[in-house]
Amino acid sequence: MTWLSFIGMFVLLSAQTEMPPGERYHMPMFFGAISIVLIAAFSFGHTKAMSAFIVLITSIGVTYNIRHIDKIDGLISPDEICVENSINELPHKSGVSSYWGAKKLSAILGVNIAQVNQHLEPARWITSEKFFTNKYYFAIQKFDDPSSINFNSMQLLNGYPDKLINCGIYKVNIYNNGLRINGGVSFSKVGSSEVYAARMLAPANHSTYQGGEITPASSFTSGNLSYGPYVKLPSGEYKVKYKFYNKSNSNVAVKVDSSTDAGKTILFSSEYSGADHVIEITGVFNMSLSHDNSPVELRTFLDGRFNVSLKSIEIERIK
Amino acid sequence: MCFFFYGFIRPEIFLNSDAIYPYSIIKSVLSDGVPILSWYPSPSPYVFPDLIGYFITYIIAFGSLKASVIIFALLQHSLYFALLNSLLKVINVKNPVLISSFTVLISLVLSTNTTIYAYSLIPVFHFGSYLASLFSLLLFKKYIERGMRKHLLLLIITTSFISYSDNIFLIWFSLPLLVVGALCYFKCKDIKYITTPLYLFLSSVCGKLASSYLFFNSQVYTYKPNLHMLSEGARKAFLDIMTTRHGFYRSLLLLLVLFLPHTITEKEKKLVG
Repeated sequence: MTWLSFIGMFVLLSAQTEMPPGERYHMPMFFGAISIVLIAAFSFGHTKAMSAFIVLITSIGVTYNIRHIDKIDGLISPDEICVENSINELPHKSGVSSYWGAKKLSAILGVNIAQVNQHLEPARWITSEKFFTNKYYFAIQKFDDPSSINFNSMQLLNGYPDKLINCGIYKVNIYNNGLRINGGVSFSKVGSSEVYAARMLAPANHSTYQGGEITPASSFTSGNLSYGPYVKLPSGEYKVKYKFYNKSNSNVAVKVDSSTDAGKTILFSSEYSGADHVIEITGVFNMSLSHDNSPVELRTFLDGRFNVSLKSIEIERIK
Repeated sequence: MCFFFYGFIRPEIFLNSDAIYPYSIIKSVLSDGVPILSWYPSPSPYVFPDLIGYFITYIIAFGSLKASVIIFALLQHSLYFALLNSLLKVINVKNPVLISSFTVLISLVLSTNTTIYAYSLIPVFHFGSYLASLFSLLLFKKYIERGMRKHLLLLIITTSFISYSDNIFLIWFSLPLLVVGALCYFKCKDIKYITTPLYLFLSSVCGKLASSYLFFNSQVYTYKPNLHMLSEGARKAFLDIMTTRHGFYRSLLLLLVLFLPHTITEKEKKLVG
């Protein structure tokens, strides 16, 4: 029987080698071991003596803990109380934070905090759509969290915060006029729209940000000016509007496209040539069911080195 | 309980973003009127016992976060004591009350300085599935002893629902029970030891598939048995036991696999004797 048990155990272990390497996935061994050791200990009789021995050992453990563990006052840390006080002073109580900050702070403070990743894109992971609103007024960084909001990404998108409050492991960045997140609109309803300011898009290799716009850098000759924002669009029909400034008011050649499948499927493309100061290129494209919720890229190109800068790209679901 | 709530457990255990998920979802639905379908659920739905337990906790605590955390820990440990005590009684272990009390006490004391034991205080870290395993083992033993169909039916419903809630139940309970059942069969030659675990395994697989197909983000991670058991799995298991800490933890299964067939078949052995 013992040999059979051993073989049985080995079959079980073989079947479980795909389990993730975390102690909690082996919890029954930790808790079960206590019961089994106790059953074995009490099986010898001497119940009172054994009970006294266990009480003694447990008391030693408790005494050791009291001496060696730093006591913590309350479930909410002074850092979190500081964040609470900072938010309470604000007129608008809606903000963003990372996965390890948002739900926790939202529960503690009782305010709306949406979950975003390092680049201020919505992180819809074990959270509710109700947290995602159109306006946010603060961003909370958490320094012991590797997925915390990246300050540079936040600054590129929104500029420097109006006020910064340091609360230990937290930093509260306050924007009096609101802050934007990348791709904050879900486009689940017809009529949903989003304006991607240039600072929410990415400059190509030879382009750069300048005054909140994307312009050709000194090394630019021709080609890709900007890319992104990889917004996930549900199937439907969309209107897109690209807006540029032609700063020299001379003849320029600009190309745009909207694509999915990592640029392999072009949904819409258009070209402009002329000398207008403000260049607006509009178009309509269809997201088929087979591309439902696929990331879409709204790319811009210059057919030469022109003094043209990208201001924004607007997208609206029309069907 | 009073001892450890005087600040010896890191608040991060109770209020981390994973552990606070049941509180957030129940608060948003009950107090803020948010539709439950607006939630992007956890890959394992944790409906039973975690979400149902937290629902009761939330009502008792009148929605208070601090009170919910404490009441849930109390509730979970009371359940742990009750289930362990019942199971030990059913398998005729001496001093079941003492053993259950000391098990709960020792795990509580360990929870102040060992994270794995602190998981017993919070939801969604799989302790609910451990409790469900004790409950299912209790039902299994009752069915084997009394042969009542209602026990089998309840067992099938329970295992499928718990596997749906947390896929790890399949690995922790249904799969080991197949092996334990086979060992019991060799001892008692009763076909129930083979057929019952097989029914439960199949109902667990159905539960697991339900969570994979009903929740869009469940494909991110699931627990699956290694299907190449006799080749790659055996080699990995051997290397794990010999070289890794987690392999050592898993090898503690030996204790359970040696212990359970002897206790489960105890009555039959006496009858045969």
